[in-house]
Amino acid sequence: MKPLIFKKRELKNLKKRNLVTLSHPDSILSDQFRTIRANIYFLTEERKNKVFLITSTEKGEGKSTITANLAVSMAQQKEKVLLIDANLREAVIHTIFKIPNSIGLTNVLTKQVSLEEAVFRTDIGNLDILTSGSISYNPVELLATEIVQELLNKIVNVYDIVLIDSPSVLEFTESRVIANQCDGVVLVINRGKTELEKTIEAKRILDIAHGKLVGAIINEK
Amino acid sequence: MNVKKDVKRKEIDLKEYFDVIKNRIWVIIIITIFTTSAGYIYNNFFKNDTLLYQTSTRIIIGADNEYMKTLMVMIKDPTIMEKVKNVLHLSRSSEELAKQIEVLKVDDSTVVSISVTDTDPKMAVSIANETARIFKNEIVNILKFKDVQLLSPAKENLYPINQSHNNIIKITVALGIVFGIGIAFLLDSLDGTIKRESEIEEILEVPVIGLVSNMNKKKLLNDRKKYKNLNLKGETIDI
Repeated sequence: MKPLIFKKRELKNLKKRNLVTLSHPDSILSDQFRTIRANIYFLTEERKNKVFLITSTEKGEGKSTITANLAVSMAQQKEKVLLIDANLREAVIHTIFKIPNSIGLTNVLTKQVSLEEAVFRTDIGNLDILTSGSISYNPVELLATEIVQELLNKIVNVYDIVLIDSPSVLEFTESRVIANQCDGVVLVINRGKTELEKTIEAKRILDIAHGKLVGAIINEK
Repeated sequence: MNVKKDVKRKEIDLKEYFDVIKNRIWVIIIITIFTTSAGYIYNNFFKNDTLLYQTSTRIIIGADNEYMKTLMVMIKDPTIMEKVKNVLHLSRSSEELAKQIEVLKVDDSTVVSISVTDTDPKMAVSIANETARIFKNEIVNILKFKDVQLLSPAKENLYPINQSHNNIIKITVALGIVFGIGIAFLLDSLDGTIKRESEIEEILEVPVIGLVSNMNKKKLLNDRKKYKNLNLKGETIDI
């Protein structure tokens, strides 16, 4: 049983995490996502890069919401998009899309189910979602390099673009592992919240992990 | 390269200062309100400095310029002050009494005004009149000078000369604004968060690929009327 105060906060968070690109496709906000989408296309040289990791320096800077909206925006462009929720500790993608999370990434990584079985096919264009899956007690080991590599190799052949929502860089180690395997890392910066020092630190960590930082998204609060 | 950067910095400096003030305008307003109310409370409840009243009497001294100066100094002489003190039964010293008195020549005439400042308006009148009277009497004994005429006696002036009620409030308002701006800049320098795109690009060495506004703002969810004809609506078709 969770205390009431937590419940309230969860509800509030849910309310905030809305799919603007889906509910208000003509809004200024959706337009901003279209801009990001276009820029990501420009960044990918001749469409070789497909797998993008979206992360932030610390949690609560809006990366899951941005990732979800970006995925929808890309799917509206008739792209075959896969959205992976690699935030195994605080998975939220399934709550944003209101889809079940009984099987997902963890089950694929532990080879309980195949990728095809675990992927949830939404009715938003060609958007497929791989939720975090059942609770994992050791996310770092689960996201060990070889397994992720294997999975990503498989995915790349099927999809046009893959977006991965991951935990924040400074908090957990998983992001570094995934960053290493991705074609590009996009850092979400919350204006007026993300600290300069932390950003430098995140950049350093990504450099160590040989993650290829391709761009930053400013989230205004 | 460095020179270029410096030029850029200088250009945006003023705008930055303005932004700092704009972003923390509430800090400034609250501090100003705080200091002003503190000034107001102090002014109305705690300030009990005594009000001072001033009055003056005029005498005519028939002497030439040089001698006039001596006579004017003589008015505040301890011998005269001592006598005034005795007549009025004052407890203060003759030096203190002399400080309350100001002797001025009116324009370039032979009229001399004796101004007295005191906490009691009646006492100011008494001191002024007594000083003039005793000076007139004593100067005959001291310098054998007789040409002193009492012109107009001092009158009671009921309006204090140091009524500075509003001044304190004005000062506290100004202080509050200055202090508030100071605090705003202090907070800004302590705030280590990222504010500008250029900062991000400098640190990360990658471009900013997009900006997402606050999703809770209603107006951003509205359809953009400008481009309605272009029909940018996203559609979903399964192939």
